[in-house]
Amino acid sequence: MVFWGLVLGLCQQVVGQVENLQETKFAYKIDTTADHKWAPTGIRVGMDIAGPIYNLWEPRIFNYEAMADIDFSKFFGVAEIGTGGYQAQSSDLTNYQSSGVFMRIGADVNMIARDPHLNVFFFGLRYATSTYRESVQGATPANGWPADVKSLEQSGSRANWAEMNIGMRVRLKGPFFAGYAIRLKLLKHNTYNEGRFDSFFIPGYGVAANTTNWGVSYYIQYRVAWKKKPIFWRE
Amino acid sequence: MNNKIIMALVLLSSWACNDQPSCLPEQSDIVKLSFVDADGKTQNLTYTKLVVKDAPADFPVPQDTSLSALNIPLNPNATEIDLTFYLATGTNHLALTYRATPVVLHPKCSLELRYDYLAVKESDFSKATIIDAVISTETSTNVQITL
Repeated sequence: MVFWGLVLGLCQQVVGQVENLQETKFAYKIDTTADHKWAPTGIRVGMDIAGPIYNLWEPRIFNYEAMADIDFSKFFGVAEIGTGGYQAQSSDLTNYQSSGVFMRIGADVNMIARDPHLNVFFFGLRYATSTYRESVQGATPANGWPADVKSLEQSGSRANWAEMNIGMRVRLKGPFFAGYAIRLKLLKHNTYNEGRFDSFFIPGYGVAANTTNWGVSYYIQYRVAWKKKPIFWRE
Repeated sequence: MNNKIIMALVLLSSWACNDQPSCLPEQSDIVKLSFVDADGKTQNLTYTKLVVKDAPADFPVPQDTSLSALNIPLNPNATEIDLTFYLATGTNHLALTYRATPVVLHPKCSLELRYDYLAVKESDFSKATIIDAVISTETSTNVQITL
């Protein structure tokens, strides 16, 4: 509730700014008949800092990712690429490791597209894919049979899934932005591994056994603009 | 004051993200046999001895020699289990094959094995039918044997 209150407050603030401006350093007014509204005006690139910070709290999980987006009117084409995995700790009973790369592509729609500072409050969809390798060492339950320790590896494991994202990108100063994305990861499909053991952790997705997972990214971004963005001014 | 409430909510939310596995076993390694007559009615199998091939001396074989159902732990280091029932009239052999796949519930827990693809390889009984090829705690019968 508090979160949505903050979001609403920011939206109202942004709308208030729009009503009082005709042109900013980043955008200028056009009307709905303009034919150049779809032309991209800049690319934004960013690095996630939520993954490295989370790794300090949970050293088993590591996640490093970068993103880029390009604007098409109030829409954005988005690509995100990263590396991640799971590293069991010495105190764990099973020594499991997973590491690999993942990529997401998709689109966002900016729900405050009239903001002259080009802040973004978005809803987006992603299609994601991950390729990874895993290893596991651990004792198996014996139940009357001689005990055994399994030591197995498998490479070339992969998975695909879809995501629904919601988040913000807010201009800090000049070309620098910061923003978060909250991800609902779902519809995992096309999973593959060599069958030596069940995958436990899919980089970029999380715990493989879950049908849905949540994720959070917090990006520090830099926007390279080659021209001002035409936006529909609120009259 | 409001900031403190927000921080408390954030901390509580992040605590919820810290998954703590229960490590309660989710998999079963017990294959469940049931014995029926030609009409499908439960019938006891009476034998003098049951030998499980390659089993250690302390392997948990039922002491009762007249059973309508038999539960046997599968060997995690093999893909086949061989049972020989010594009956008053001779011996009956039953060989089952299966797949044992390691499952990581959570690295904080011990490794588990999921048993599936249960199949009858050999049988001296009139009929041995796979009812459920997946070994689980919820299954009442994996193999139905007609005497």
